[in-house]
Amino acid sequence: MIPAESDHSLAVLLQELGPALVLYARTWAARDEAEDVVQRVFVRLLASKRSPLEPRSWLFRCVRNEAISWRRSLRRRLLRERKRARATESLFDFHPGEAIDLHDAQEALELLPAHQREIVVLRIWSGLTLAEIAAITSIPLSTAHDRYRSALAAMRARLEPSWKNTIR
Amino acid sequence: MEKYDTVNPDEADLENALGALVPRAPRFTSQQLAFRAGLIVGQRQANRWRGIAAAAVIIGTCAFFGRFQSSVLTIDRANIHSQAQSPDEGSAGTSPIIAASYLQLRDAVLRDGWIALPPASGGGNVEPGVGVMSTQ
Repeated sequence: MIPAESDHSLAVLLQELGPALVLYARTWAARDEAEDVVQRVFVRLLASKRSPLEPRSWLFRCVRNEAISWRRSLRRRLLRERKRARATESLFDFHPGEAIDLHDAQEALELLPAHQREIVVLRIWSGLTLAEIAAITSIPLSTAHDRYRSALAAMRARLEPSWKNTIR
Repeated sequence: MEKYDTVNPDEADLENALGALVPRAPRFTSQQLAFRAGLIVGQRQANRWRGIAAAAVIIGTCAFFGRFQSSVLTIDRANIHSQAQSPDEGSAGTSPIIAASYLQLRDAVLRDGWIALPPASGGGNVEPGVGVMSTQ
């Protein structure tokens, strides 16, 4: 059942976590599908009788499972089309005065393998700790840490030419 | 645990620079979500009522036919089972064959009267009749 007071908390939750959840889902899906995935997860949260103890972790975990199962269910041809379409869609909103070039950052992020990319997204744009990330992705904490550092190193190597002015 | 969350200054710079990028907001609103969730909850409730209605129909049908079954008149019938006499029983008790012939004779007397009785084996000329029993 949907309690009446959940409208406000839903709006807050959506505002706080919606962009990060969509970005996280885009590790495996194109924008439209990523939004579908996030929408389905939010609807499931609203329609469930009991709310999870940790809604934030629960949402990210559900988005992950939903997006991965969506990806598995697609045929290869369709997947290639989505991948092509995804390359043209921007992951981030443009804001003037950003220290890093938006397109370079997106490219660097998209070139990461999925297991590294999801950790970067969860850490940087979702604000989760590595312990929470390890729990969501079902990997040991040390592995999450290693993957995160490897991903940062890879991104840094790719971004360095365009970002060298701001690197110490 | 905390040591894993710390990064070196260079990595922290990159983190901050990347963190300044704002992911694109989803194109759906919380109202749309609430509407879809309400739709699902409504469907779920409708399905529950459908289930209850189906169960009621099944139970009603069973009860309806069960009522006719219970109104069927049952007639008890006495069955006489002829049992083979075990050697242990000896001569005690009546042989089932004799008992059956007795019942046949009884039925014949009830139906036809005394005439149904077999002729006396003693050879006497005593006619069956009502006698006075001695009190001695």
